[in-house]
Amino acid sequence: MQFQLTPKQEMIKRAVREFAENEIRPVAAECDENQEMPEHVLRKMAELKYFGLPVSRKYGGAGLERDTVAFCVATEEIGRVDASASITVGVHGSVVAAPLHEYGTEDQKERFLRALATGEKVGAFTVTEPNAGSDANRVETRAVEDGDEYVLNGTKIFATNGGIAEIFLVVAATGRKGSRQDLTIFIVERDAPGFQLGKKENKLGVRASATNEILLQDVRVPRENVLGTVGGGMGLAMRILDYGRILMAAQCVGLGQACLEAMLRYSNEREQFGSKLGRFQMVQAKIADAATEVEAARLLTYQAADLRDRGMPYAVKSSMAKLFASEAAMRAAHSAVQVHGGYGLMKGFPVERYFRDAKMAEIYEGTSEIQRMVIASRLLRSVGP
Amino acid sequence: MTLFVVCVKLVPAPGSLKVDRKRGTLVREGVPSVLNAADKSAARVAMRLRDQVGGRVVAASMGPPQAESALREVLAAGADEAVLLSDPAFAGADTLATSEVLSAAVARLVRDSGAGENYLVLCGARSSDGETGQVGPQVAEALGVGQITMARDVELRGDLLKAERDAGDSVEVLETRLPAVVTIVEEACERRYLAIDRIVEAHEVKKVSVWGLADLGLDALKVGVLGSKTKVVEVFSMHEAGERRAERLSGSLDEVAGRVASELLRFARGGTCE
Repeated sequence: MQFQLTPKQEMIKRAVREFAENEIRPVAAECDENQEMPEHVLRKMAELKYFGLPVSRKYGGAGLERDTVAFCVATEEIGRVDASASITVGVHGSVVAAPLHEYGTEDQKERFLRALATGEKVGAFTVTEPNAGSDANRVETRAVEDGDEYVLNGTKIFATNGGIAEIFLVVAATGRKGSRQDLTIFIVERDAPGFQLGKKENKLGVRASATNEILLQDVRVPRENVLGTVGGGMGLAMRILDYGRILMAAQCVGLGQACLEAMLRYSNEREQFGSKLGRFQMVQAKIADAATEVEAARLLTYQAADLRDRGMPYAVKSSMAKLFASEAAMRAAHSAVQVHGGYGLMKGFPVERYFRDAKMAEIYEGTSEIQRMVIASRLLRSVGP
Repeated sequence: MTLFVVCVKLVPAPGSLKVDRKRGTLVREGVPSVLNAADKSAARVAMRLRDQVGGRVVAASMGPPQAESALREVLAAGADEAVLLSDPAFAGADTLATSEVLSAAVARLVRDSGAGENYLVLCGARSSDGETGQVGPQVAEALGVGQITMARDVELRGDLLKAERDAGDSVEVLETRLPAVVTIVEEACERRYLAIDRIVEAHEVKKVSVWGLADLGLDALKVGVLGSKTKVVEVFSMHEAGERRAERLSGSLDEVAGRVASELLRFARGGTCE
């Protein structure tokens, strides 16, 4: 058992922190307000390979395809400064680029992965529909075979990165309705005829992450654009999300860390009743709890990542990490706002943004309730008859 | 082919400098370390020159095994290879003994690469911990080559090295021919971030060789604590030294000069400045 980052992971942590502190922190509040990431920040992140973290250098990526811990460290460091930026690269990397790297054909990798890895194009993964949220089996977007192509029709909502993405993984029904064999994942390009970007969501938190509705009307997709197998989409989507959750957990660890640091800073500065806030035991309790929970979340997250890197089962751990890290971030954000008092409610301090961002994390990429169901059902199955 | 050798050092991270007063040394255990800022600029200058005129950049650092991280960082920034000069015999070196090891390493790199006279050694102008600024010039002396110190900009045309340096209210432009040593100030380069793929490459593809006393053919009496001509008698933090005071002296030039001289004399005799 080894609880230390490797020298490579340490250097990645330092490098990403330096970038995030100097280039993202100064614009984070403005991004939140304007609901978008500035082009120059996205471009710089692309140059530094933040969009190609889990892709091998062979395809123009950063080369962390077997180092999910390092991917987590990078995502965490961005998340420590801005949840939106962290989500943008985390989702792009973990549920679009990484699946193409792992399950894509050589042809798909050449056509799509290289552009994703270099950040030339952004990716989005779309399952959710108006009637299929947590219950992904109820996907109504249909793909009908027509010669060498599939014709897609349907509406996707809440697509993270939807507004800036050019390559989409779209989960659509290809078989008998309601069957587990029903779903297939297609690689769809934004410039495909019939593909239309719907409304951009005006969200509570992670506002600079572009969340969009996607409208598909008779979009023709060549057979070569099926990711994995026809009918194998449900199982594949679950595997993709199992991995994605580790990175969402990492983003939450960064967010929780940000809340903790804000609390520490303010408690050492602010005086009330003639004492620094940090001298009050009720404030100390909040600090201690947040520090403990963030550290526990970090260990759980790195462990899930490490299991994945060792080729061992990690699905339950990744759900545990996402569940615990997002709820820990929410509790830390709650405390951080409370410690800041009235100022905590104001835009001048970042904690109100952290609070809104943390609430999002308990819902996207599988709600806390879904994570609990996944954890319990897998554990029950493991000892069941 | 031009050979560029960058000499770098691992130093305590800014704000974490701690002093062991009993031993008169800096505390290195448990203190986060970073690549010295001026060395980072020297490395960037080396990379830029290599990209302009061709050649190879080799990073060299004398230090304990941990110093490898400084070298890996220079590799991530674009150096082609690196050598860690590490040997128990090198421990406790002052700037002279350090220069002895570094210049021997440069000589070997020049020999191994067949660069002949066609090489340039780049050092940071000063380290943020020792702050002596002596190592670069001493390396030049040991190699018997020309040197330009404190450069903020460097240009290389053929074997002609042209450097600019700040001289207060004017800029000095100096020239020398290769082989040479140039020391670079921190401000010479803008901040640049390390790309993740380069960090991975620096750890998984590029090599760091380790050379000890025997590899450099050095005499044990000339390196490390035995080869050092200076000894640190005491190190203390300015914060621990008690309250610092400043005073503006006024009066005629003679009066002010007299005050300064008498204060310095008092201090030299073991008193404290008033």
